Amino acid sequence: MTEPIRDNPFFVLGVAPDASRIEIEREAQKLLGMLELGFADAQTYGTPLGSQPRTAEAVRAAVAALRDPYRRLVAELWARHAPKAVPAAPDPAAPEPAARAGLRRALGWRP
Amino acid sequence: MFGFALPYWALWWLHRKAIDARRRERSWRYLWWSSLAGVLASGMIVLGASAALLCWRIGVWWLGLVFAAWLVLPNVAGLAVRHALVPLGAVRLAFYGGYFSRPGPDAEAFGLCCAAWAFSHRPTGDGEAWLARRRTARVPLGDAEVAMTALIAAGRGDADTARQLLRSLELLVEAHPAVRELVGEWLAVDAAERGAWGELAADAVAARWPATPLSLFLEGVATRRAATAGAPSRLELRARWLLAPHRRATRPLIAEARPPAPPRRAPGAGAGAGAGAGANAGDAADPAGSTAGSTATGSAAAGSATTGSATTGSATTGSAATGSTATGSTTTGSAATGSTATGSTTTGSTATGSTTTGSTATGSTATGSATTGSATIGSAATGSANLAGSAANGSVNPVGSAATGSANPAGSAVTGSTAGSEPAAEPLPRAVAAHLAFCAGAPSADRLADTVRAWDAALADPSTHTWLARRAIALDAPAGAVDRALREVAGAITDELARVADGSRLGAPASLGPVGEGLARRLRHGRLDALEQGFTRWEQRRHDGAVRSSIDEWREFIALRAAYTDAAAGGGGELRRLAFPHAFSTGSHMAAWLWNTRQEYVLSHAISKWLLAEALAVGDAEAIELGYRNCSLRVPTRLGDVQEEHP
Repeated sequence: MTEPIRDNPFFVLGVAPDASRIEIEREAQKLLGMLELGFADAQTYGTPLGSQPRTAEAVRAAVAALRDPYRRLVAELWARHAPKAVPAAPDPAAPEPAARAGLRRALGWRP
Repeated sequence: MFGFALPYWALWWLHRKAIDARRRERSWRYLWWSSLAGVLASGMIVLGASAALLCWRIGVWWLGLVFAAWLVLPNVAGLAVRHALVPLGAVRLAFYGGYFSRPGPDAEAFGLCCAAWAFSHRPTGDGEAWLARRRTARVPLGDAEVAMTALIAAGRGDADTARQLLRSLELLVEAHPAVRELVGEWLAVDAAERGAWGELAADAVAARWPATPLSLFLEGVATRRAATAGAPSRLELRARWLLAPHRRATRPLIAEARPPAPPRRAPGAGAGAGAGAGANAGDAADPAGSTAGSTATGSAAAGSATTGSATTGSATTGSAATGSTATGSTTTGSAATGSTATGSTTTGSTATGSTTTGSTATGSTATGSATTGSATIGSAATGSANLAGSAANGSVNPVGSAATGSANPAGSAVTGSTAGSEPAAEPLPRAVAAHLAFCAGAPSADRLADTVRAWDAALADPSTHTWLARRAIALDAPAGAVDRALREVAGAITDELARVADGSRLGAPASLGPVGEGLARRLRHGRLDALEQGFTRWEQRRHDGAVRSSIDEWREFIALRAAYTDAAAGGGGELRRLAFPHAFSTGSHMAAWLWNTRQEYVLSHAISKWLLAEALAVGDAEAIELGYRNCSLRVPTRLGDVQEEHP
């Protein structure tokens, strides 16, 4: 399910979910130009899952998706309701602090 | 010579009895039997050495060598294997060392395990080929062959396979005590390295394996850490440590062998969620009302009714609380449900599902709120400041609309946000946040259930439908776009959750909705299909003539059993009942084939025993009857026939 967030057209283009079609087209053209010129700022885009690499293909695909009303509706659903940032939860399955690496070897057993 | 022979024989007999008695013990008596065995072994060494020396002195040196080999060597062979031959990786010498250490009947079994143990230290192709040849020559398969296969896997660095194979020995009726001791020690050391003290404590309580001095010490550490019944005292643990080998490596474990300290509250820090599981009540004053499952420290309460709460240092008057945790709070005339409050002073408030830290509220009503560091006077907040499924610091919910009756689905705490300025949470953002948190962290059954419920609530929520319909009209989307979008989203979520749940062997949570029902269906069908395919492939080989070696048959069975157990644990009783008939049918055929055609009596009996346990679990009367019949058969083993009694 992370794809609808990670590859969300609104995040790829860096526009708000309520952006108009003209705004979207303008932003896409601007980004394509910046990518063509190799601007560092345009190389990545932010998502709730962290920064992602932006390519010209992804920008074109995002614009195409947002031109389709149905695909835009679904993209909006994700983009509008996604949190700004989700820090990773602590891992409860992590080894207990009591785990002792190398004990098996020290006690004469392998591996 | 008879002057030596008779005392030696007596010492040997007593030594054997002491070792046998030690294997049945896990208390102080173990230490006594060990000491006695040590003294007797020393006596045998002295007698044997004296006999050899006497022969040498009278000129028959060759007879002295024979006596030394016959009377002295067996008493030091065990030590030589552990401390010299195994670390050197001397496979063949370790085999003969184990063989001549008088491990009881079928000495070859223990010798092979010692050889595999040596192989695990320095694996070589030659050593593995030699071990495989010796194992293949021993038909039928027994516990020693499985144990040596596990140690060979350990030598290759595959600890998981080694653990799985060694654990499978519990099913086998053939039990070489010396082999089982080695198995128990490997598992104990493995559990200690992984920090799986609970697992080790469970083994100790169930006395699954006869203990070696090292495993007895580690079990003592585990039972003390887990605070289980029968845990040794500090003195006894130290005595166990003295008896065990590798004292330098195990010394730090003595200091760690204490029960985990109860969590200490930092001044002003959050107390965390409490759900009435407390057991340690200190200085508690029972309130005048009814209290269930609560832990209270230094509290005074009047006229309150509390369920499942943990309260520290609070003064409460006329309150009713359910599932709440309050620390350092003063509450007057409040009613709280599922709330956590730390350092708060509340007067005349009603709170439902709220988390409050360091706040002062007077005359407030809060529902489903999480508040940190706020001061509220005379306010009414509903569904405020909620971020689902995440542990967020200083974050703000991006949705600014108001909501009613929201609850934090994953029990998260929000710190650093400002109550009152927090935008309200809607079901959909909460579900998305819960899902992202679930995917980002380690999957657990609770978090999966929270996520599924959040999604089902969000997709069924009228506000979601209204929002979608409004946006569909605004975007000029085709007819039916709302339903299609909801289906698509539900499908994508179900796919993702099913993949994670399947990988983590989680069961489908009970939730009525497109995601919950879809997930349950997907997991059940997927797991059932995988199980049936596995069991069918296993049985099919019998007809194809693709016969494998006995150890491979056993490994396939324990892999299938593990898959079945995982599926049953994840899918619950319903899936277990659905999966059992096919497993029983194929398993019974395989057990009969192994018994009648391959003469693998021990393996066949183990499969029948597992099938019987499963039949009892699902309540299949026909399978139970057949299982009892099969399991009551006399099983020929290298140590004699074994017949298990069943009620």
